[in-house]
Amino acid sequence: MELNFTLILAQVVAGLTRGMLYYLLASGLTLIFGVLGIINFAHGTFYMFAVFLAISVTGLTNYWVALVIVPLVLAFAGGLCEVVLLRRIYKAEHLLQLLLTFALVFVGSDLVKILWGSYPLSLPRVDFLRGGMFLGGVRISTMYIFMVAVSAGCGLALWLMLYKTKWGTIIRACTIDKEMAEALGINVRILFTIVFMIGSWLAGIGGVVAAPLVGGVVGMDMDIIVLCFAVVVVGGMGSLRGALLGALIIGLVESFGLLILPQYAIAFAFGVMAMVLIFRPWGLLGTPSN
Amino acid sequence: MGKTERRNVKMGKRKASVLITSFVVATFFVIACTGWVSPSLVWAADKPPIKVGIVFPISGVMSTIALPAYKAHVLAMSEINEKGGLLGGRKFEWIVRDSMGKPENETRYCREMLVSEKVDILHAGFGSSLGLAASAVVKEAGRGLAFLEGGKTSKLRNEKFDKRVFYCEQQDVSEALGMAKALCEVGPLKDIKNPKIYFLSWDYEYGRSLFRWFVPALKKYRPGAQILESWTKVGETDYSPYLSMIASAKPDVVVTTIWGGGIPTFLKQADIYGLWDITKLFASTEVAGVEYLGEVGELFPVGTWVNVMEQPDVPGNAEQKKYWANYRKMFNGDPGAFGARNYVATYLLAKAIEDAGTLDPEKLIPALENAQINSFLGKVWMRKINHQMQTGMYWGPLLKAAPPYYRTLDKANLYWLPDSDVTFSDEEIMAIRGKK
Repeated sequence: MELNFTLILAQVVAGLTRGMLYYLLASGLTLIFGVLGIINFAHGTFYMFAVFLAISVTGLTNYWVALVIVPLVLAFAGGLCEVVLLRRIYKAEHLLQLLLTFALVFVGSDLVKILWGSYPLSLPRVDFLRGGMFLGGVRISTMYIFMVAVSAGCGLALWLMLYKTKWGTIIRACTIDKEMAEALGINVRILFTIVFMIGSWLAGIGGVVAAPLVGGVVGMDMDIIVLCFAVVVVGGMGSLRGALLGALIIGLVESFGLLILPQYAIAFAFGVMAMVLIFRPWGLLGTPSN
Repeated sequence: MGKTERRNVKMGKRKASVLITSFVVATFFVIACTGWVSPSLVWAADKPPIKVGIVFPISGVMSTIALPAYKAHVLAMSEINEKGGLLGGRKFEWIVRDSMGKPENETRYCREMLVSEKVDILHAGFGSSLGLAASAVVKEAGRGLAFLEGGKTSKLRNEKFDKRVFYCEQQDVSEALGMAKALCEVGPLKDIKNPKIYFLSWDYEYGRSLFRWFVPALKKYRPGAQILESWTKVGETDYSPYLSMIASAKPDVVVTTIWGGGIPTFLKQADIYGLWDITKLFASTEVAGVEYLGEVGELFPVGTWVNVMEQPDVPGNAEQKKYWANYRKMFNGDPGAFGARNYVATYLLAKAIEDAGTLDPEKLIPALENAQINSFLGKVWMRKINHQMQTGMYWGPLLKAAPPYYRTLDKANLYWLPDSDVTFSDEEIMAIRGKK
């Protein structure tokens, strides 16, 4: 296909949009790992739940109500999971943690089938998100602008919370040295719950933002979690800036890879991940200790 | 407690245990007579059931069409059971497993059906990757007989042909040849001499195989055609980079073979993007069935060319109306287009079983190869050389319609293409298999 400025710009826009959605999800995953030290396989399942819940809530009320309520529901569910299940395995080896979160994937998948059936579902049309604008000859739909804006907004809010508030300082302190933080009187158990809830909230908002585009399909959790892991590995486990960088790289590589070698499009994201694992296994912005 | 009291208690306990034992025996007797717990408990003493295993992706992205197909099988088998079954009273009994569209699950459950459950008939392989997995298991198991419902890839019918496997799904060759013919003779490229076509498909066996047959077939009609291609992963959820590439290319038509849950996703994103202001859509994989239209009918651009086996009033005969009425009664919903061929395939199989007089594959296979029935889809028969069920396909543009489907086939411009018109000859098939 002939490359021209319009096509390149179109792929940049598509890649950035994809990347920002990956960032929204990967930021939650990396935050949970960075603070709690848990690799949460069920993060994709929270995202899937958010999509299905968004479809139901939008059908009953409207999309904007879903945008507010669904992430809160997921945050609550995440908190419940953390208190009832994950708290018991913090001191266990990583394999057991992985097994537990993996088990949650299977439970979550069957729960979705029980609640919503096994048929794919679509979100009712959201008129506000239709239409778009032209930029340099490229059509940019309102939906994509919305996705990028929400993702960027959440990313900024997360950064401000972590680096400009007292709570953020406490969270970062726990990341560096949990025992010392506890010795200084910080209630680490409650903090962990709050962090897990924030991570789940991010998965929730990712699901609601993606719902108008992707619809609800049982099994979508495994597809997205694999990509989220690729993003986190590329950016660096436990690094939010790394998650942003990794997400943008993966999004753009996928987008341009389709242009150059469409037959191998599926492999690009994982090709990048493999290269990072070989040459810089702690990720582009991660630290060797992670 | 005194001696008399102890004696009374002992007698009471004995009476109670006699009572309980009698009750349990009576219960089993009643159960055995009525077959309440499981029909096979009754039939074990009477006629053994015809065991059917169904391994379909009834959840996930493929379930959009797999569920109607599964229900149609169940409807047909239930109807046959109600009429007294086959082979002098033997009734269908079925076990279902959800492959979720994953070949590893397909392999595992097909093996379970054939080896552990020892089913007589296996319905499986919904989707080409699943069909390849199922076919390999059937060969390995060396028993039973399989009907592959999806698995359009001609590889299964040619290079990987196995005498125990039959196909009710139209194969990719027929679909590809039909696409080229419909596109160029009556469809959107009718008046375009050197068209630019954008081919968008999931990147797996079916998509690749269909493309392999489609390109030379199209070139016969339009030698000057330019064909661009994009391949997505199966079940892709974000088509945005592909949409921008398509929009940039400004093709005369987008030909897509995306199916199942991918169609609503693709159409939604294309609609948001405004793609249909730039180009037209030609969708194969029978997306004009009500299983799709009920979900995203409004999102199909008016004038989209599609193919389908049946719609609510296509063909519109009395037998089709009866099928719809029975389906609605059983499942409280409308049958999807993929249900029709599976329903008809069960009746074709039933005819073959009666003709053979046995479930022994050595006798059932030749009976099925020669089986023929009249159905609401017309005459349906099995082609001996490649075990492909022969029916046909309607091709035509979509018009606006009322809810709940929003689109319907333009009956004034319907184009019926029988499978026999768009397939390889016996000699060509043998040549592909490397035999003379």
